Amino acid sequence: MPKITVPLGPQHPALKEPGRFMLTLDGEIVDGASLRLGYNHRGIEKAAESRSYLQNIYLIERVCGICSHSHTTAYVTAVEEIAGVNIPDRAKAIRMIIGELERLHSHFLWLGVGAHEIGFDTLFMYSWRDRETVLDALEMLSGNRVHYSINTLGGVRHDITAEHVKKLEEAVKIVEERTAYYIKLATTESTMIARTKNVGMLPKEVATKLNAVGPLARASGVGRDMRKDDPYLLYDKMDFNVITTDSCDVFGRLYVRVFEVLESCKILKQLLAAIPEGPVTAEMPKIIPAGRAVARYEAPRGEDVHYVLSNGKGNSPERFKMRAPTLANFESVAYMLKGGYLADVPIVIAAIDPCFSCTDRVTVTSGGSKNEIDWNDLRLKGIEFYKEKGIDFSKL
Amino acid sequence: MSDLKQEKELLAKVTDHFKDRVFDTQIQRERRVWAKCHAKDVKEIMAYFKNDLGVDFMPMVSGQDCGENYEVIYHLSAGGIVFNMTAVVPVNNPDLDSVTDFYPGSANMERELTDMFGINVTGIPEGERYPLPEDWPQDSHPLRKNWKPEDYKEVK
Repeated sequence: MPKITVPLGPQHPALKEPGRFMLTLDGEIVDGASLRLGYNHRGIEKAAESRSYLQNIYLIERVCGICSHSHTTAYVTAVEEIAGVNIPDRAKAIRMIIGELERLHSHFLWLGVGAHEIGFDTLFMYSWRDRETVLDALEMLSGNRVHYSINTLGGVRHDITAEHVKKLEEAVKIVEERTAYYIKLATTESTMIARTKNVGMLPKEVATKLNAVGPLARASGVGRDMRKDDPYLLYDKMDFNVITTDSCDVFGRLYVRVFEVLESCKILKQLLAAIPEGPVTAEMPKIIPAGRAVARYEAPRGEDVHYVLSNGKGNSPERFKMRAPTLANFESVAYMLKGGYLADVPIVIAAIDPCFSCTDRVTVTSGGSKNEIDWNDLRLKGIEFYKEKGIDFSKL
Repeated sequence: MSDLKQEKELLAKVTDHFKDRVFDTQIQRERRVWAKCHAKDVKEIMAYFKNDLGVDFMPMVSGQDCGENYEVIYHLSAGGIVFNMTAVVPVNNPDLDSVTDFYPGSANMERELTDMFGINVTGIPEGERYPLPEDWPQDSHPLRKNWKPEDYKEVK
């Protein structure tokens, strides 16, 4: 039988984000796969060069709707390093609390999506229901479910109260109980095992060679975790384990994520038991001095790297560059698809927990559109809007 | 405070091996080392990092437009240490060798250098362009400092 080539995507290739996979099929076996990315390219790196350091926090937060805190934390860490500002321990702890809650909700989200891809929609509904516990906690702390906007230059925008701590401890307890159930389910449920064991194999040496990061790497026995390798915030003072397994398949990626939820709960409990006292912001210099910094952050999907260059003259970075974990992991996808069944393609793609928006980042809008609003127009519009309500911002 | 022993040892190995071909070195802080090199030496240096120093992880490749030169930073991860090897690429001769022989995971990041800065990277395995669309003009590179959004004309 001759080989045939089938395009998967760019619309909705197994998940609700664009990317195109060209699959060469020999019967129902995938003989080869090539990828086309970039459909979500929004020009964020270019845009960052024309916005102030502070405005960029809000821009960069919108790189991704799931790991919004990861990106801003990496960015502000780099800017604070250039400015030579050491933020108070209480602010570090709050950044970590939000960061670990983000990991919890992201892993629950993934568990649901993964279950959905293999047709196990009951689990999808369970895990998304439990994810609400975490989202409620995030909303309580920051006022928002997804874009928490907790970070600012020099610290965080909201303090945490004793009442918050009590409610968070309750939420962590619920998450731990539910995770124990998911662990039992994932390791004993026969359909789950049949659909994930020995599927999407990525041997350790290939994962190492292709720069795999996060749960994908850790499920292939590569223990890369920036919280241990290149500790930031207060992670060097925390007691937690890096979860790895040598199974190298989709089952391993499931295993790593559910056990990581428990490790995140462990970190949260340590933080909540002893949140450092003190202020939540440090003073930042008015002008960011010349300098450069590379910040690494262990996002739920793996290592997030940000590079910021300041020329010390303006109010905007000279260069901002970021590499989200999905871009690092895409190199492995083509390898994992090869040799597998066509029917397993969705779960293999979903198993890296891909985030195309993160990967592509960077729009350049076409010049001709009539509905375009630039930054200044948007600002003027905002001033007009508030003027009608009796508040004058035009002098700011 | 750390005495930066590991950082100093790593940098010394690189500077002993490449002498003055590696310059402008700096140990910025714990786990952050910087150095510069010329574009023509990139392949040899990356081979040294991979084969002799056993550095098997390159999380990011960044480009930047510095006026007379482009700079391409290879952010190498040696354990927890990030070794930022910066290749200086002249604007009037923007040629660079691909390092995918040693770090195959960097293919898309090198394609990004071609699309966003117009740096000719030779030796990247065959694949689709990234990240700009197929019909994007070949001579329009958005991350160059002299590129303005209004330069972009929509392709009909």
